[in-house]
Amino acid sequence: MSIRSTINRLFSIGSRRQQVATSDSELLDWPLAEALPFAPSKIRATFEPRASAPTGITVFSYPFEQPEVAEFVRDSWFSTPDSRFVTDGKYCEFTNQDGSTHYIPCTRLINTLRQMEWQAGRGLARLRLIALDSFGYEEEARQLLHEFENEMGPPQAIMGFARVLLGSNPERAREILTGARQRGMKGRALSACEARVSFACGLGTDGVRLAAEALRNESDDLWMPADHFYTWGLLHGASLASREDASLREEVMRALKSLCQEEHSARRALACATLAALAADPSASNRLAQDALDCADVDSEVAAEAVWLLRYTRNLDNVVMQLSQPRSSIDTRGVVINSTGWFLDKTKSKPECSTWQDNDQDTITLSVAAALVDTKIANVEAVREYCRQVAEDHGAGLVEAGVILNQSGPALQMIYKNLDGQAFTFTGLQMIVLPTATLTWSVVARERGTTGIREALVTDSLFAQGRLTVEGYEESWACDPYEPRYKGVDRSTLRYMSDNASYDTQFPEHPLSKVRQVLRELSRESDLTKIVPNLPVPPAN
Amino acid sequence: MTFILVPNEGEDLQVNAWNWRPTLEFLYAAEVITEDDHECLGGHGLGGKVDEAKALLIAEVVTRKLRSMDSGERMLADLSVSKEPKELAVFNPEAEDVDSNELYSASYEWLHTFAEFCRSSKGFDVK
Repeated sequence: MSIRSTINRLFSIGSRRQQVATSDSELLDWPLAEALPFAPSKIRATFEPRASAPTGITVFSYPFEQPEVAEFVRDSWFSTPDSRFVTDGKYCEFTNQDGSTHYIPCTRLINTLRQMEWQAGRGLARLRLIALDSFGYEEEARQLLHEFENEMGPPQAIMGFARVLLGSNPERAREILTGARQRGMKGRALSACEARVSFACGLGTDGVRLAAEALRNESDDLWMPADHFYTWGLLHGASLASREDASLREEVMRALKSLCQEEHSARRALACATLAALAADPSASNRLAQDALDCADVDSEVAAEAVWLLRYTRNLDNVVMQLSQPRSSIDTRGVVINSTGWFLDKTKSKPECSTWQDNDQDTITLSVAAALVDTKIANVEAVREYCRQVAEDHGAGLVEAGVILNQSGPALQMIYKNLDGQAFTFTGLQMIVLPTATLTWSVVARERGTTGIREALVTDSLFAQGRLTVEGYEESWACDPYEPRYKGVDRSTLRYMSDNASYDTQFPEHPLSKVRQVLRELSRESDLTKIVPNLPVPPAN
Repeated sequence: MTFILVPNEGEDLQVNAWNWRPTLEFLYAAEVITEDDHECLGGHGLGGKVDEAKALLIAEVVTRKLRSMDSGERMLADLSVSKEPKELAVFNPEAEDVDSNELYSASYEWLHTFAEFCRSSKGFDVK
């Protein structure tokens, strides 16, 4: 196989990636790693003498992925490293495709590569550079790199070498680039190259910083369209990864901010808005999408996508805020009750609990508590059981329980009653379950004056209609509304037939009617968005 | 504005939002993807996934659509097909609205690439 045909065959390596169209195809050959014909294998940066090697012999790994390079020196394959055939004791260990292991004198391989350069072109000198570098011929490697620097300019030579090492020994590539920086080299393409190398080394935050630096810098001669795509691609990947890594996210957001700090195009702002959305920061995404619309050069295509992002991030923002608003940030005193006759008791009210009173000394309280754990609001049976337990804990009987549609979505609502002497106290609870807190309206109204009128009149009426008998009275007048056999509390506090809501209009002054009425008003009219701004806004009608 | 489709087998495919969104509209209208799929596949970083069976179905449906199109044509957001090239204008914030239907369109070439990608991908993730 000729050297040229081997190179041509191997030139297809990396061609699966879409190449950027350019009038000057030479530009793509160098410094992009994808167009290079050979890829080095993992290079050992330090000498690693094998235990089995004879004294005075150092064995290195074969530095190329392709076995074809070793084929060029097939006449120098030895079954064991032998000090008689080398002057410096250096061998490279090569495993052939048939699994057999051979030892090639390092100097022989390097000399062959040097000779091949005459036939195959200067491009093969890159292979020699890799071999020199990985076999520890430091001075010769430095000299060859210096030759490259003279031929094509220092940054291009350095970047080329670093990119060749990128897939196999990124740490070494990073050392080379760091050395170049220390020698004063800089530029947009160099930063982009360093960004790629940093990512390859697993240094995400450095990579993000350098990628942003590359995109911010003024263009230089070495900056190519492919650099542009790769660098944005790095930020895309970093943004996705940053969802799981807070410090990386911080760096990503810093980078996006820096990219849009000075004068920038609408497309850049839109790209940053997209990346912020990828990094799960809807607020920043929203801001950057708005920024894209505010730029002077915004075209209709960018505008359309910016508008899409704005809509998307606003919705997302609401959800995120609702999920993250801390309980301590909710001050109940900010709520205004629109029902007439209720006054905020400022002396009793605190951020976590506010109390309103009316002239009957009945009360409404709004309290903030921890989020209910494992709330099965969609399971009616579970809701009733939970409410029955709450009532029982207060020595009370359950009057009703269920889920209602509050302004801000579904809420758990229940009413229970306690007997205090001859008078009942009715307590209505409306619990708005948020991810981080539970807002609870509590309405307490007590019977005053003559008691038992509602019960007496309804009993008479039911008897008169034949809907209640003496036997039936014993069995069904007082019982839990959902579990007739329930006996967890004193029978006198269980729900009476007269507690049915259908009698509320007949007894509007009755405390139970009042509790129901106030709960209805609270669910419709109280404006909780004043204290929980991220609650869904109800429709105007 | 870039979505990266990462296949279970083969090379990544990148697509911009202006081609991707109408593609999703088409797949949703064709009842190949659900509303949830539509949302996840069209949002950034929402973990949209397409399994192998669905990818093959998508390839089939898109190929069928391509039979009603010619090279150089584009499918607009309302799924109609236009021969007219996309016209970009300078955005005017005073104007009534942005014509999304005109600006979001999937080109014949993109749909062709996408169908081939789906056919060979063995399923893919949207990143």
